[in-house]
Amino acid sequence: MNWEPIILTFQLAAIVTAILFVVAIPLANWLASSQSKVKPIVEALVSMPLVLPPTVLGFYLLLAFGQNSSFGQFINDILGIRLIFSFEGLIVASVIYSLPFMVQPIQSGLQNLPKNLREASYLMGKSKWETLRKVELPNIKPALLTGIILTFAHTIGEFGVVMMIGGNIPGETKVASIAIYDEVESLNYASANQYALFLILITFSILLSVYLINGRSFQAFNK
Amino acid sequence: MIDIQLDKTYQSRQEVIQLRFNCSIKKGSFTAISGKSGAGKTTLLRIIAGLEKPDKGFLKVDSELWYSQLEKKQLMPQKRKVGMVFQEPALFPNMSVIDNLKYASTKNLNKVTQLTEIEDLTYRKINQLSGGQKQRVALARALVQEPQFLLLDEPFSALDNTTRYALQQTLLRVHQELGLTTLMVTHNQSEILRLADHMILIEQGAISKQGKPLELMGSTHLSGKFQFQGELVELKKEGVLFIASVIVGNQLIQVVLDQLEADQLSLGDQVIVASKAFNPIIKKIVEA
Repeated sequence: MNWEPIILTFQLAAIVTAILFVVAIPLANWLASSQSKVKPIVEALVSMPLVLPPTVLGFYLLLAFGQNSSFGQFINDILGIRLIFSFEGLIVASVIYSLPFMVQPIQSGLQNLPKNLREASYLMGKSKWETLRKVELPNIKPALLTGIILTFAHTIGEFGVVMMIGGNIPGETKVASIAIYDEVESLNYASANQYALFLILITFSILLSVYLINGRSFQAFNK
Repeated sequence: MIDIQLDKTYQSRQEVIQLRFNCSIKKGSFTAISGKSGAGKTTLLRIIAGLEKPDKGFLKVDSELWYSQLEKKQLMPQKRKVGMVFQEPALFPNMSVIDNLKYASTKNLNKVTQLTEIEDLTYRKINQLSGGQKQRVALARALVQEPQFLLLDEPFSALDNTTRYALQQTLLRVHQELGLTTLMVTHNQSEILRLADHMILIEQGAISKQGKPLELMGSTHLSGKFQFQGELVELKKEGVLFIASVIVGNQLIQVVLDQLEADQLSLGDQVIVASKAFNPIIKKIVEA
């Protein structure tokens, strides 16, 4: 088995998860506490990747990132990064595509936390940021873990978006899901089976560990 | 001195509630805020703490404006130096008892843990505490930051009578020793009598009465009759009369009855001890 697509997949998933963790916390915190009129619009936008066919998202990202678009050209001129048919492009696309998987668990974790914990902290003179960091986030660990794992697993399983803007470049954009498709197209069923089986094992053990850890921490929390 | 003149309208689950508060609270006093549920007691406390914003009026503490509609000023809760104990203890489950206290302030730890009698609990986790211990810790946590005001929102309502009584004693000692200005929302009449030197009664979003607790509670407008609820624990015959012993809170009250009255009672009955023409009487509470 060629390990390159597997390694690439995990690199992509790890980077995307790390970026989303940083991005999602302030966004989820705002969504959990804001009463702004634009909040429903932002919520709908964040959740769109859940229902849109990946090809739709991929198609518009392809248009937006391409050399013919001003955004794509701007990024290319300023940072020297090409966003289509490149690993960097996959990262940006996956961050958008997996956004709801990180934001939603954290948002609901924060919303379910008794609000008097936050208020008690404010009354001790602590800022919103300090309260978030020392009181709120440590008390929603199961939600944070769920967000991390779902994002990681979802990025591993991504196909449509990668196909649209990444293509099938070995070592650059050929992730495991694409490799399986590729092997099937070439009638190498044995090789496709190896990739597929490996993905099944990995995702099952990741999800199993989430449920085990979450079960235990909910018990500890409710004691 | 806190000067309060505040209006607020908000939508509760069932109805639109209009609040209109106009009162002053003296420094160093222990004020009980009482009234029916939904009358706006908790909201008043939350407005003083800065957790809710009024629509109109002002809130002045000494000479400092904490809220003013005219000057468009709303002091953040972080800057108010207010200690608050909620109905639910609101302790941080991710920290031990001592870490909860240290999070508020690292000063006064020894003094406060002694005063609130939680020295033995400091290294426990929050989920290892009983309900009464949790409220003790919550009280201690509100005190370590040396607040100007201590706000208590029915902190003992979920506790059994013995625990409640012990915590009341602690609270009273703390209030006196630290010279605090304390505001406490409570329904419990014996709690008000035991602790407060001033009482504010809120009815339908406005202050209907204020003054000394004993005077207010004795007035016919408040309760209709001066009465306590308790349990009949003994019925003893003395000559032609009977002596009934009733537990009210932690006190034993004895009332003289005649044969006719005694016949209607049996041990374990929930009863009301009330006054009628200067004589105590006992009435059995009939379950609806």
